[in-house]
Amino acid sequence: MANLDARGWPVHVSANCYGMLVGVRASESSAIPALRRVLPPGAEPIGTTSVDITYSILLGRSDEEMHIAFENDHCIAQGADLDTVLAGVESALHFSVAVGARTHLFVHAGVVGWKGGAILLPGRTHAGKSALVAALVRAGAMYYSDEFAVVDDAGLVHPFARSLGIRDESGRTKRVEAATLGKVGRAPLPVRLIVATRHVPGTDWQPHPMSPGEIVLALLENTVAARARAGDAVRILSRTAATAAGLRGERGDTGPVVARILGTTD
Amino acid sequence: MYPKARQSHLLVDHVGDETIVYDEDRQEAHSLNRAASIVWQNSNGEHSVSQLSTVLAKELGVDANESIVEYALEELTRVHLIENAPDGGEPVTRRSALRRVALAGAAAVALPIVLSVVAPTPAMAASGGSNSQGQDNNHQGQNQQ
Repeated sequence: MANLDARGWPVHVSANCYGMLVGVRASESSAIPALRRVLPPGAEPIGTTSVDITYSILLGRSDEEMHIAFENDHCIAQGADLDTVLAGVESALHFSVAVGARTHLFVHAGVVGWKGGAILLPGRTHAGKSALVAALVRAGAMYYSDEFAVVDDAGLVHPFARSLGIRDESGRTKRVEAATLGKVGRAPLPVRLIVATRHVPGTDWQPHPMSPGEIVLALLENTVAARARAGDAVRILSRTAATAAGLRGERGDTGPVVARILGTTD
Repeated sequence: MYPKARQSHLLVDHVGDETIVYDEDRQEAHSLNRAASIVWQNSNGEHSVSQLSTVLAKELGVDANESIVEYALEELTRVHLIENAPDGGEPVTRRSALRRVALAGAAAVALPIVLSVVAPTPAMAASGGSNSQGQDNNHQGQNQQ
């Protein structure tokens, strides 16, 4: 880090991200919009350079020179394509915030808003969360997140509305702006329904209801800081589950599932 | 036997009539349904299985049945929530416990159920590693690890 700190950094952006202080800096002033873009939704700009974690982006100065990104002093991405390097920074930064957030709990889940309540779709990578979130938004639900349910101490879910990462048939992820699919939610919402599901082609969705205790476990096993903040996690998730219904079961295509999910919370 | 519930290094909360227990030693979380919660909360080292059976029957409004308590204690012992494990008698299977519940004319609410998950590391929570999400099976009484 000392070597990186010794360089000149004409651009530096600091932000409070859910209680974690994050700095992002670049070697060229032209990168300011890019730096703001990699910060997570909900980041609040701050005036200090004393932060918990720093991301540094060395921009290549010619076509032959690669762009290189660091998390503190560890190289996390490099390449000729700046967008690809920035995507690597964004991914690492958001994950660090999910781990280190102090004011909110990050649960790996897709989230939509529907009739004043939040529907959570907890699940890990490749569970098909983004495709189901996109289908729900196209059907009229409000987009909140395709990555993390950001839950506050009262059990309310806050928007984390970055662009959706939807995989095509070849497995490649395509970023889709949420606003092109439908409305984007702004206000925190109480949780009304948790749907623990994953995509298994050809499956007819026959979900089982989950008890409140099962809901807590389904959320906990997707909570990024479950071990580091176990007490907070159990307390907040128990509060969340107390007012929510839960469904569990593998699903096939999104079409029939969307109508039933939205119908459940009508 | 006078069962004694483990108290150390556990985080406990309640949701509805279920108890959530987080084991800080093993990084596991458990959900105890009402019947399992009653047995666990009354296992203070001073109540015999017979006395626990009476407590359970009174709380749930069913006939007293020691086999149900023994099954609950085996489930709770399996997940390390009882300090003094049952003393090596014939284990009560879930099927046997269910049959006794049915014979006693009690609803399924009398069957003690303990569900468990391993708390993920940050990398596990964000990755495509194994978890039980969406599995269309019945986890009742089974450890999901």
